[in-house]
Amino acid sequence: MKAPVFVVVGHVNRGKSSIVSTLSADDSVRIDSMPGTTVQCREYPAVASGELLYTLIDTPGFERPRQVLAWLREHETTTQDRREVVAAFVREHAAGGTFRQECELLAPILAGAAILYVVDGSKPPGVMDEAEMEILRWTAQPRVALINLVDKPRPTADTAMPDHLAPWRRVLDQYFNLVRVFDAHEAQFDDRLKLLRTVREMDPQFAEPLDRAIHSLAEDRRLALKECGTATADMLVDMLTLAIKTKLPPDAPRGDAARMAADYFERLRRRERQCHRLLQEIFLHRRLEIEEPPLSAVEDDLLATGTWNRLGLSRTQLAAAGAAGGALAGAKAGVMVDLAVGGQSFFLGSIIGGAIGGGAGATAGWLGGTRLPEVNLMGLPMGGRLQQIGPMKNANFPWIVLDRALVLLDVLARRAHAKRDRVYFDRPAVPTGHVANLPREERNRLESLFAEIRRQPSPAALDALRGELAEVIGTVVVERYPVAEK
Amino acid sequence: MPSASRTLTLADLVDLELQLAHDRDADAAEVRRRDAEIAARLQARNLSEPALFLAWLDELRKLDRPPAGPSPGRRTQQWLDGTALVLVLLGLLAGGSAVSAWLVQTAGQPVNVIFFWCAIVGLQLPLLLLWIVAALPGRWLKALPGAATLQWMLRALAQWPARAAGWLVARFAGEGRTLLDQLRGQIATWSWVYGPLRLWILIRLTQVFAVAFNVGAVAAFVAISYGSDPAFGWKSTLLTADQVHSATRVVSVPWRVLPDQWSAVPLLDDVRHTKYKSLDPQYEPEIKSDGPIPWASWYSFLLLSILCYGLLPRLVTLAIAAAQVRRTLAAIRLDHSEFQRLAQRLARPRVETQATRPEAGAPASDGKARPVDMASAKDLGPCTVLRWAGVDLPPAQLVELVARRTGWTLSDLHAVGGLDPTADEAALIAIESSRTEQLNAARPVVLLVEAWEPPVGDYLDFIAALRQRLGRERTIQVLLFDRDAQGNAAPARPDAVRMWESRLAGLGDPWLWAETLVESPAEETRQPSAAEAQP
Repeated sequence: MKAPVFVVVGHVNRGKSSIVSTLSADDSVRIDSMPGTTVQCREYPAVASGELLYTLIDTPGFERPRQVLAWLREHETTTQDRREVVAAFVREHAAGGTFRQECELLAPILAGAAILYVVDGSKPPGVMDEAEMEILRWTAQPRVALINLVDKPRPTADTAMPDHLAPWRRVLDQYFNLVRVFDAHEAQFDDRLKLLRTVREMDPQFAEPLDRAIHSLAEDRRLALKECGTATADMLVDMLTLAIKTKLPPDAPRGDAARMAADYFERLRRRERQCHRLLQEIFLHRRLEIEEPPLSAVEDDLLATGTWNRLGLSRTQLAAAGAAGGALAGAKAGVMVDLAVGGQSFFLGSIIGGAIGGGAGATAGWLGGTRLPEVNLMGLPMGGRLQQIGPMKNANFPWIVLDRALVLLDVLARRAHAKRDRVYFDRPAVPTGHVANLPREERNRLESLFAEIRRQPSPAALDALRGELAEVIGTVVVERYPVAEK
Repeated sequence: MPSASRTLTLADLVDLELQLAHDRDADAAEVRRRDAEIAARLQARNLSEPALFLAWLDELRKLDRPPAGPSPGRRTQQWLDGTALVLVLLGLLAGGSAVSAWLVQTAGQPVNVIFFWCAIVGLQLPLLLLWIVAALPGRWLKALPGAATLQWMLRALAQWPARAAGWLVARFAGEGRTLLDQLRGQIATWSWVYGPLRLWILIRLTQVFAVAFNVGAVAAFVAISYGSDPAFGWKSTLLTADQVHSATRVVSVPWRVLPDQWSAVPLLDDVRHTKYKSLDPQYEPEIKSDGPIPWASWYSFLLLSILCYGLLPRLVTLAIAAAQVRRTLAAIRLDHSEFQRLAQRLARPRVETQATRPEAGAPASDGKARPVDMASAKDLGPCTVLRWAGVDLPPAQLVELVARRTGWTLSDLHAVGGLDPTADEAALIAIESSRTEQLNAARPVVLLVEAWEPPVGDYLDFIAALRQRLGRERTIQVLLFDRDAQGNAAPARPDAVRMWESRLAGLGDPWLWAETLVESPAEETRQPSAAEAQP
């Protein structure tokens, strides 16, 4: 079956390109308040596993709708020939000149594309809009009206923006069977699917390809969220196990500790940036500019109250998670003892191990939250000395790093691709404290994994821990952003 | 204090334009406050508009104390004077060198008069002809067959860079295109308003060079003739002495009245005796004369040729160009959009009742416009208002808002921009006929549009049609109407104003501009007291 084609048309500056950008999840679409930004049609094919599901076409805006309509009316013969009159208009003016934009946007409609007509619900309907709707009616193509909200309400203390939605609906209902509000700058993934379901109703022929499109998009979203979990877990493992070591001859002076520490923290920052870029790539927000406080917090502000309040776990939460994690690890060791004595210990090993582990974990969580790695000098058995910094033992560190990743992920998952403003992490509008609000079981599970990773296990064990951590974070993320396919 | 009758100079003009351009990008409230103070100082002098602008400029110059140096206008004038001096020196050098090269580098042969005349004098004649054709007013062209076509070709050639720029701009999109459009519009605006002045200034410079060239040529010709003995002769396979003599008689028509002893027209015998052959080792004349060969008989003829066909016409064209520069400068009306905005600022002092500084702990301004002291506003005359469909203001409020914003009173109101564009044509015809009736050809036209609508082709086409109907220099002011949440008229959003300004600037129409209909509170200025108004 032929994949449907949707052409996004409307007056200049009504947000057509914004809608295309959000629907196609493409932040490379040029959006500008200056009229004439889009001068040619641009296609956005939606392809899944090599199969074309549908095509969106962004078009230039109507520049002279009144004149076009006047021409059409002047050349009208019978009602049934109206579409042919529109085609004649395009043929006559296709060479360019005054009606270049109109010809450009009408050509795909005449070629059979369905119409997504975009209006701006933050402004009242006008004469030119009326002319455009009439022209589109003459094309006799299936069409849906989308009410975009280009200018968000500018509320003041005692006023609000006039609501133009009601007049728009009254006007649009005369020309379109389906009218939907679609805020291109605030629409989330589910809104995209909802719109596709609306468009599906335009023509029975669209049902099958669009069902497949909706399913593919939903599946893709789930996989993307899982991939985010893997990327974050990789980062956490790398950062938690990072250590820099330098061998020194027996009589050599101590190396530059400050430089070594700076290098260590710079590598941590770089690894985090790498992960954040990957998250942007997964959500296709390649051009999004993010202002996040650098991970210098690790060096300077990790212990600052502000950082503790906004990111990571509180000291109590850390102690609790440490206790749970420690108990689990201690119990594991106790179990080994119990098994070794063939159960004769009445599981005393597990109980004692769990108690000791829990106590140690709680203490480490309470006290270890404030500790930063320092450069240490150790003697080597074969002579010489080893100067080392890392790995990070700070209990709150993985939580802060995970929280920063979840903050970014939250922004990326909810953000429409048409939105072009910068994101500032330190603004109150950006919600933080994701890890602090995780269910206790997940927190404990994560802390247990962090503790095991900190112990620097063998590469094979570390790999298993990495997979486990990816699974936990992936599950957290997928549950946080459910996909409503139906 | 400048005289009210002082004439506009090029330096003034440059300074005025630069100041207006600077004001356009400056803080609007600050500019209004400054101009309100200047207006208060100038009020008593009751000046007409051009004099008022010059007085305004002088007031601004006074504010620049101590002056940072010559003003940009003065520097422009100095640069032009310096360029003219350089051209004089280059012209003298070029003319002197050209003649010297002919007279000195003869390797013992006589100077071939035919070539010398063609190179030094003859070449200048077609250039002079082209200059005359390019500069002639249209009504004179009819008398010269082919001149109109030639002038059209010359002007089309001059427009080629602008056409090429337009083609290039069309290839761009987005912000780049907007910027290029604005730049092109600015150049077109200056060309529209100051095109003739720019043209005549350039022509004057070229004629300075041409005069200097001929002076240099004459000086070199006389000096070399005094210091050495150049021999003039001619040679030709095809021309006979009779034909050459006839040609000299035609050329020397302007000075034929001079007495014979001047030898201004070579005699036939002299022409015969100065013909020589290239292969003759002695360079003897073809026809031996009884006395000495009259090699110098051509001297007066050649000198008078340079004077009459080279120097004299160029002196005339230089005088014409200089006169035209003065005339076009004097004819500049200082009435394009920026000047009209200035006139409105100077004519309409504003009142502000707010405190000069915010009270501690008090909330910021309520954002509502202050009432305007209409009594102090100067009535700048009647205007025609065109109301685009969608601007649904009650007529009384419309009149008040337009008068408050522009200082113009509404004389007639027309509805345009409806669903049927042919109705716009009817409105344009109505404006034309009402204009004829009232015999007020300078009456400005206000186009009221919805500020939230972008300046699409439909508006621009209508403005172009309006301009065509109104003629070149009628003011068209586009006022942007917006509403607040309660439905009251409100200031247009700054980005909407900028968008309209930018798009209209691209049209390059000096008498067309866009502004918000209702001023934002920030633009209000405090009317200076009498004491403050004193310089």
